[in-house]
Amino acid sequence: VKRFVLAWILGVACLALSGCDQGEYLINRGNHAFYQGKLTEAENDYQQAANYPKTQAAALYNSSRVAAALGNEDRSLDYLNRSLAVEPLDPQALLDRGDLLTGRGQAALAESDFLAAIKAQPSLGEAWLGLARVKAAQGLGQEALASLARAAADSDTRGEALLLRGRWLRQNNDPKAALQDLESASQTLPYSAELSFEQARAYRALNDPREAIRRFRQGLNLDPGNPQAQKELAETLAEIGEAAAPAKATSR
Amino acid sequence: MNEHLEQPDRWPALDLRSLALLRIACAVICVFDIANRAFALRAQYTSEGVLPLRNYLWQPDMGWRIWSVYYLGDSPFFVGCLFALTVSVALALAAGYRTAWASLGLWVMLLSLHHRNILVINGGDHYLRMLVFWGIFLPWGARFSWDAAASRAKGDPPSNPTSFPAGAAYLIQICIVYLSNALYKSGPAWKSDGTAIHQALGLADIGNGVAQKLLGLGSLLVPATFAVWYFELLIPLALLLPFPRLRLTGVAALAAFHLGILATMRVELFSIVSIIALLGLVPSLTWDTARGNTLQAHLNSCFTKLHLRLPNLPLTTTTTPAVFGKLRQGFVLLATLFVVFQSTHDYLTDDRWKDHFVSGRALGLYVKWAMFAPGPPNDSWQSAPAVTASGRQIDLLTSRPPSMSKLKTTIAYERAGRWKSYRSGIQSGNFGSNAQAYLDFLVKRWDATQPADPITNATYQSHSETSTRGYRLPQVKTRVEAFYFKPTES
Repeated sequence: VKRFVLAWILGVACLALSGCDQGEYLINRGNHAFYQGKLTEAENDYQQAANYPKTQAAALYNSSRVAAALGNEDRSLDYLNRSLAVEPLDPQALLDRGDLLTGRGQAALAESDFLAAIKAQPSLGEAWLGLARVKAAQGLGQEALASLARAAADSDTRGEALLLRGRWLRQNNDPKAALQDLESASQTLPYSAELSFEQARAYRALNDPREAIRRFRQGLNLDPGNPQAQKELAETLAEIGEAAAPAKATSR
Repeated sequence: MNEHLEQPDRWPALDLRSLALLRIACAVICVFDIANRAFALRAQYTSEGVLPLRNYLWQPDMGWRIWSVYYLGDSPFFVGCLFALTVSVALALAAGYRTAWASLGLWVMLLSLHHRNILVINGGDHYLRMLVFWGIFLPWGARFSWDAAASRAKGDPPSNPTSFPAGAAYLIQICIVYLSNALYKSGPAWKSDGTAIHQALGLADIGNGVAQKLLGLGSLLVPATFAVWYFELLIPLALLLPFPRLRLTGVAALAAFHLGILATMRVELFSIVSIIALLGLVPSLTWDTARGNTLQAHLNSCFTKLHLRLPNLPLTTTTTPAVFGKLRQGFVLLATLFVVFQSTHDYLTDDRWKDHFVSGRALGLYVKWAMFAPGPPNDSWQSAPAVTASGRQIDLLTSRPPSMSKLKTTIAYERAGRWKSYRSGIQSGNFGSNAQAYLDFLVKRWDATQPADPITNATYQSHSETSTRGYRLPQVKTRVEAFYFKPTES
C-alpha cells in the first residue's frame, strides 16, 4: 500500500512537472480571476495567453468580456475583432459583436454577424433573437417575426422571443394574439417585470383596465422604481376614477 | 485455514475483522451525519422550516417515498427525538450490541430520514444507506463487538457465521457503483473530447481551491479524463476476482482515487463513504501483519472492556434472528438482482420497467449511480438578492452584499446542514415550487435576526452557464425562481 501511494504521488507530481501548456495555464488562471471578480488580473493573464497560438482566439474573446464588464465598449469591440480575425466562425464572438453593433446602431454590420453566427450554429436562439431585433429596427416586421419564431424554438430564448413577439403584436394592434404569446412567455419567465408590464399594456388595449392595473402592480412589485410603469398605472387608475392604492405584501 | 474468513471455501471470502471495521465506520459516519443535519433540524425537517409535512405529503411523486417514521410528526421536539434515536441505534451498531437488530434499526431510521426530505440527500447518503442495508445480512458483528465479547466471556469459540449471498451482494454493490458510473458516462466530454475532468473541476460549487489550481494542468487533464473512465470501468474486476493481492491493490487504488476527489471537490460525504465502503474488502493478508495484529489486539481489548463495563446488559448471540433463514437468503438474492438490474437497465431495456420499480424504491434500493454523467453539467449557482428597509442590499444566501462573481458567491455559501443539495434540487427543475418556500424561509430568518432592518424585497435566482468551447468564458443565464415583496410603510 505504501509503495502504491508513493507511486501515485510521484505520478501526479511528474504529470504536473512535465510542463503543461503555458497558454492554457494562463487562460485558466485568468478565468479563475474573472470568476473572483478580479478583472484587471484576468485581463493581464488573457493578454499573455493571447501570445500562444492554441489559446489566442479564446484569450482575445475572454479579454473582450473583461472589457465589457469594465464598461469599455470600444476595447471590447477591438478584442472581438481580433478574436474573430483568428477564428472567424466563433458563434459566441459573432453574437457578442452583433449585440455590440446593434447597440451602436450599425444594423447592417450586426446583421451580417448574426447571419454568420446562424450559419455556424443554426439552432442558436440568441442569434435569431439578435437578427429579429435588427429586422425590427429596420422596419421589416414580417422578417422579424420569422426570426422570432426560430428563436422561440430554442428553450434558452423562448421566453424572450415570445415577449418580443407579444410586444410587436400589441404595437401592431393585435392585443389578443399578443396576450397569447405573453401568457406562454410567462411559463418560462414567471417573475419578469417587463413581461407583467407588457401584459398590462395588452389588457389596457383590450379595455380591461382592472386586469391591467393588477398586472402593472405585479410588475411594480418586481421592479418598484420603474417610472414609465408607474406613470401608466396612474393613467389607468385615472381612467376608472380610482386613486393609487398601496401595494399589498406578497410573496408570489 | 483462516479462522477469520466469513466463508473460507466460497467466494468472495470476506474477512470478518474487515467487516467489523466496516460496521464501526458506517455507524460513526451516521453519527457525524446526524450531527451535521442537526444544524438545520428546524429548517429542513420541521413545521417551522422549508418543508412542513402539510406541504410535503401532498407533493407529486410521493409513491415511492410513501413511508417514513418522520411522517408521524414534524414538531422540533419529535424530530429531535428521532435524531437522538438514530444516534443511539448507530452507537449500538458501532458497539456491536445486538448487531443485526441495530443494523435493521439504523437502516429504517436512515431510510425514513431520506424519505422525509429528498431535496437534501445526495449520492453519499444513498451509498451509506445501501451499506447499512447489506449490513443487516452480513456477519459484521462477529468480531470487534459487544456481541463477540459477550460470547467469548460465555466461553463460546469464535463464531464464523456464513452469510452467502450477503457478502457477494455487498461486493457487487461496490462494483456496481463504479461500473454503472462508467456506463452512464457516455457523453463526448468523457468519450471523445476528454474535457470532463476540466469541466468538473471548474464547477464553482463543487471544485475547491485545489481544483482551481489543477485547472492549470490544461491538456494534461485530457488523458486524466480517459484514465478515470477506464479506471471506473475496470476496477470492479480487481475486486471481483478471487486474488487477495489483486483485491488489496484495487482497494488501495480506489481509496487513492477517492482521496483525490476529496482533495479537489466538495463531495465530502460521498468520498468518505466510498472509502469506508472498501474497508470490508480488505483481505486477511493485511490483518496477518505485525500492525494488523496490534490493531486487532487493541480492538479486542477495547470491546472486552466495553463488555465488562456493561455487565448487566442481557447476553446476546452474534447470529442473526432465525426468522430470516432461507427466506432471508432468497430476499438478498432478489434484492441483489434488483440492484444490478435497476442500475444498468437504461442500457438493457426501455423505460417500461420504471413503473415496476416502486417497491424497490420504497425500500431505498433504487439508486442511479451516475456522477457527472453523461457529462459534467454546465455550471450553475444561486443567489437571493434582497433589499432591507434601510436600503441595504444583501444576498440572503451568503449574508454579504450581492456579487456578480460566482466564486465570491459560492465560496460564501452556508456549508453546515445540507443547503447545497437543497439548492441543487430546486435548480434541477424537479422541485422548483420549493424555491418560494426557501426564499420565504430566508427572509423569515433574516427578519428574526435583524428585526430593526427587515427585508422589503427579495428574489431567489438561479444562474446557469451556457456550454462553451475551449477556454472561452460562457454566458450566464439568470432565472428568477421566486420573489418576496413587502412594501415599506410610508
